[in-house]
Amino acid sequence: MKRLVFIALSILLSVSVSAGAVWAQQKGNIELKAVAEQEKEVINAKGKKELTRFPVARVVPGGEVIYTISYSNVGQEPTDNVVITNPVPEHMFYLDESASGSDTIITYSVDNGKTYDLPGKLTIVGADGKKRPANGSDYTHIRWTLQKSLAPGKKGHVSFRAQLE
Amino acid sequence: MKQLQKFMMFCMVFAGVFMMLTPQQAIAAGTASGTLITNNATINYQVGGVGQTPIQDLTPPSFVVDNKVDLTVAEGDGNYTDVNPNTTDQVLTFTVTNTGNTIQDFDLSAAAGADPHGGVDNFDAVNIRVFAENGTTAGYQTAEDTATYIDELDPDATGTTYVVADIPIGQSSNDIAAYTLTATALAGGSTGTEGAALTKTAGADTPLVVDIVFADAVGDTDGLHQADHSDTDAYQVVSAQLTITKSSTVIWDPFNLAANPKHIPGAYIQYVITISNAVGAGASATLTTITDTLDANTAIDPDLFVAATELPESAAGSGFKVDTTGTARGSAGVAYFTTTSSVDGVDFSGGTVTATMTTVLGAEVVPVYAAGELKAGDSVTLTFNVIIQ
Repeated sequence: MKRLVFIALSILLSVSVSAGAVWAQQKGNIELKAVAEQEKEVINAKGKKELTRFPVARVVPGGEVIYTISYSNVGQEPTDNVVITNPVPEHMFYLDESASGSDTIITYSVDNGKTYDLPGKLTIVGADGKKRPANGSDYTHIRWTLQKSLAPGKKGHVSFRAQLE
Repeated sequence: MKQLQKFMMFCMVFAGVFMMLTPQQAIAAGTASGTLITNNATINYQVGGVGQTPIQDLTPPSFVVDNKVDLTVAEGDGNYTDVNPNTTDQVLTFTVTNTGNTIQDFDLSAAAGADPHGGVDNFDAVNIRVFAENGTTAGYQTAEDTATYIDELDPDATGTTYVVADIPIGQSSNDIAAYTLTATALAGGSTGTEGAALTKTAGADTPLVVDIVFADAVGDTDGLHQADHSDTDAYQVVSAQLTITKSSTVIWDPFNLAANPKHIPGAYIQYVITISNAVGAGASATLTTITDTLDANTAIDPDLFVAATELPESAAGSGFKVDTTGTARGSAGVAYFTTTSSVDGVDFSGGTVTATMTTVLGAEVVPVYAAGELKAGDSVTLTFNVIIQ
């Protein structure tokens, strides 16, 4: 039991000390990897403008970041009810309609992850005390619920865009 | 094992609450530079209908917010600053706003510019200086506002800045001198010391290092993304428009009397000096003294003799008449002065008539008139006689 408390405290400490929250990844059936990228317009070989992505570089207020979360079943058994939850990073706001993910239902939270719903159904109480429909910048969390079971060896990814306040 | 899971879930909830309580540093100018931004995705899943330990990214993508260097310089009032010729420490007021996300110092400099208010710059002021408001007393104070740069300006904060100059004596109404204030962001972080120049970070980004990005717009004379911004204001001279006329008329001689008198010994000559400040003048004139040196062969008439009656116009000894017209002065109209004593403001000695106008036209309270003041549209006429010897 003593050892248990020690482990738990260690985890708690690591979360508290580092805003980066380096979370010891448990060995599980699913692996998760997120990347942050930015986009810029370049002229391609054909002389046409196109958008290319590059690893997140200089970000100043107003800067847009694309987060892509990749997952894969590395276990021996199929996994069900796979749900990916991503709090909108602190100091950033979610860009409307930017979340995507194949075979997923995407819901959002405006109450720090307590409840989730589809965009049209979310409301918040404005500064004037009146209820109003929530928009992307009100979202605190994004949740992707996979509609299918994930077979061993299968992988996929979801993504969203956020802007730095 | 179940106990461990439960305890870890508790820790996660606790950590979540702890992170929620971390104060947000959101500001209008954006998230402060150096803030660490991390994205934490979590995956929950079941195997065979049994919930598994949630998985998080071992190395969540993180970056620190870079230093967005941005600023806005704006002149204060959108119009000319009125100045009088031959004045010192005339002030053009500007504001410098730190629209970046980092505390910075701002270097200040002024240079002659083009008139932003529709006129044409046609003269240069002298002794151009630039000072930052120190916050003690609003408005430019010579003794207080001595710093030549803005020290440690917070994001979203605005510093007031003064271009201070002297206006040469030779300028006339509607002359214009425009000055452009350029502020350049410098490194902050050291109170009381003007920071070093900033260099925008070249090459690739270092995700966990605060890089420097110049985001400033183009101002009046500065370029895009150079850590500087500029705006222009202008002095416009407003001055009195004085006209002075002097006439002389022979009014009486001992033989022809008042009928066609001639310039012969014993004849009286009347001098009339009129000083007017034009109706459209931009400023009052302050008359100090008016002197008129008489010809050696003339003498002052101490009584202001009237040709038709051959009597003093007012009374014996009242040889000098002042008539103010077109004025709101309470004392407007005719007044007489002696030429024998300087106490009342008019004196004749050594062949010279001296009218001390600050005494003759005294200060008044309602409406406000300074001593000797001649407002736009005001006229004053001085009349006295001399006798040919």
